[in-house]
Amino acid sequence: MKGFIKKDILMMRSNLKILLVLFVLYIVMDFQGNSSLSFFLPVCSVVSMLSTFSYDDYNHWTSYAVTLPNGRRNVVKSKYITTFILLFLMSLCVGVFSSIIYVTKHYAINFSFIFENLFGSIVGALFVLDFMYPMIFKMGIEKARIAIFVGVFSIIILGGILIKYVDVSALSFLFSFFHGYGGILIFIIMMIFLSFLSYQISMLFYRKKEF
Amino acid sequence: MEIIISNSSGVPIYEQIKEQIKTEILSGVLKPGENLPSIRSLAKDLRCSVITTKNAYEELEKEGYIKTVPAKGSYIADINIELIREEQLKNIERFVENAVFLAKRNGVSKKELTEIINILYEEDEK
Amino acid sequence: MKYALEVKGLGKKYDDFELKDIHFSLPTGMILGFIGENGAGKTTTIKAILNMIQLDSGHIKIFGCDIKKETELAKEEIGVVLDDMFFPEILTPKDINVIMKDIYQNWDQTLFYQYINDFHLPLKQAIKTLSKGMRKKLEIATALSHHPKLLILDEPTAGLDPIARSEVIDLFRDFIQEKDCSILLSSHITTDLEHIADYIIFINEGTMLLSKTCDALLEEYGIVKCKEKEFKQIDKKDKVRFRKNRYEYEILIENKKEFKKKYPSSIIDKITLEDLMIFMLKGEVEK
Repeated sequence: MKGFIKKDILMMRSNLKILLVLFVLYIVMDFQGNSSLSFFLPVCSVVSMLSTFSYDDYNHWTSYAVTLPNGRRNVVKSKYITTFILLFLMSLCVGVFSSIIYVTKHYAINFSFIFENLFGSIVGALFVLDFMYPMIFKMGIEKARIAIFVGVFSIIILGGILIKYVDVSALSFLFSFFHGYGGILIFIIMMIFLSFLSYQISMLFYRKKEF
Repeated sequence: MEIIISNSSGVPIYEQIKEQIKTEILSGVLKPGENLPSIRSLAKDLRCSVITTKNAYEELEKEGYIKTVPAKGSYIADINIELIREEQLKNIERFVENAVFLAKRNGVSKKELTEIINILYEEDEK
Repeated sequence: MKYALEVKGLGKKYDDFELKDIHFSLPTGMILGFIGENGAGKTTTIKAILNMIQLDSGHIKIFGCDIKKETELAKEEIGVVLDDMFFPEILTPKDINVIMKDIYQNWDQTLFYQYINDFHLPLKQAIKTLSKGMRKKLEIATALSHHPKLLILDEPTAGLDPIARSEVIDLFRDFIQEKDCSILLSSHITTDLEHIADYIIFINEGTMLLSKTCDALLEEYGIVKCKEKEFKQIDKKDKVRFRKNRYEYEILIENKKEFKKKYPSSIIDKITLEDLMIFMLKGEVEK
């Protein structure tokens, strides 16, 4: 399993330059506007992970991997663990730099503000990835990409309709419910549950998949 | 030991191997008790399949020329070359007897017959 | 006899293709070669053995273990080269070593580097910069470096020039020097198989046409060339397949010795696996 994780990390090496450029860009933007850096993490983690899937499929690594010891299980497991490692590393970078930026801007430090921003972006990234993985494992990256696109598009449209026809302020109790540390705890539990569920579904699909 | 395999001769490869080892045994190049290469290394060196060399060794063993000890390998059996030679000579005598008989009956002279044998002998050596 | 691989009654149905009753066993220490056209079912059979597809029917045992029950048991002991399936091309041979060290318990780093060296492969260049032949060599090196007991190779010599092909075939010969090491390989370059395979299985349109030792095939089968008059004198059952050219008939026969006894004046040519394939697929059956 370690080998499979190493493979994904070694593959991301080739994205490293682009990621660095983007990171610098986001930092510059963050200095000018407000907390753009929190967008870096969800966008770049999703893109990085998707690119590993693309490379895998392009050279039929996924088929080859099935022939390796514990291939099927390790392919799925390693993607989830790589995701956690990536999110952890990215949140470290984002956390440190947002703090530095905050200090240079405000001559003070507000940890709860930084933490909430960071937490929000991790939740966002994880939500998208947990949603995508079972689809990718079921139908491969090419078809899954279209499905994801359609999915995201319909969510946006649905959201638009919701905002237009539903009194959003009526939903504000929901937001207040999620506020504060209790809310964070609920989110953490939800994310763990969601990841677990996503992992189980992916595994179910992949165990029977034909190559 | 020397073995030359021809892919175009039409003689099955295992038979070529068998016959050539036999010749080497009878001519004394390979001595009783001497080890033979394993079927795998012989197959590798001759660039043929393992089953081919296996067949050749099995036939040689059946005919009593070699012995195989499992997990140890094959070696030249303790055969009496003189005895085999004598037997083969008897065989040859029988054939020549026929030839002489036919020659005499058809008025072929001794000189003509030896001529035929000479020609056949040399042809084979080419 | 111990078997490295046993396949019984293998069946798999797709919309446009069906694999029917593939059955064979590969004794340990031997080499079995698949021949057949592209799309005949060689790769599908190999995928079934590697548990990449679900079987509709049949059983497969590797080293005596049913692959459905003990899927992962054998994989440590198998080395695989698949047609066009490998590591992502942005990785380097050095990366492969780093990765494989943690995938196979028996991964032998020194051996892998030895192969890389022998094959003159660059260590730190991305796979995508390598030629097709170099890639194939890298795949073979990877398949061999964890001391497997069984090699499963789908078209391992495809894309290699004659020199490289003979290098690779020699490597397989070295591999088979160990008594308990076996190889299953498919190739449409039949001359490669002629010089190395102990058993030959000929697959066409998902079914097995022939399954014999390579020696038996090459000894028993032959080609008879004759004129129309002679052609008509030969019994129908003695002609496995025939081809009519402008000036002569060519007949594929399956028992040279018997044929020679029955038709002493006939001239029988020896056969190659390629001839055999072409006759079986393109030749006519007399009605």
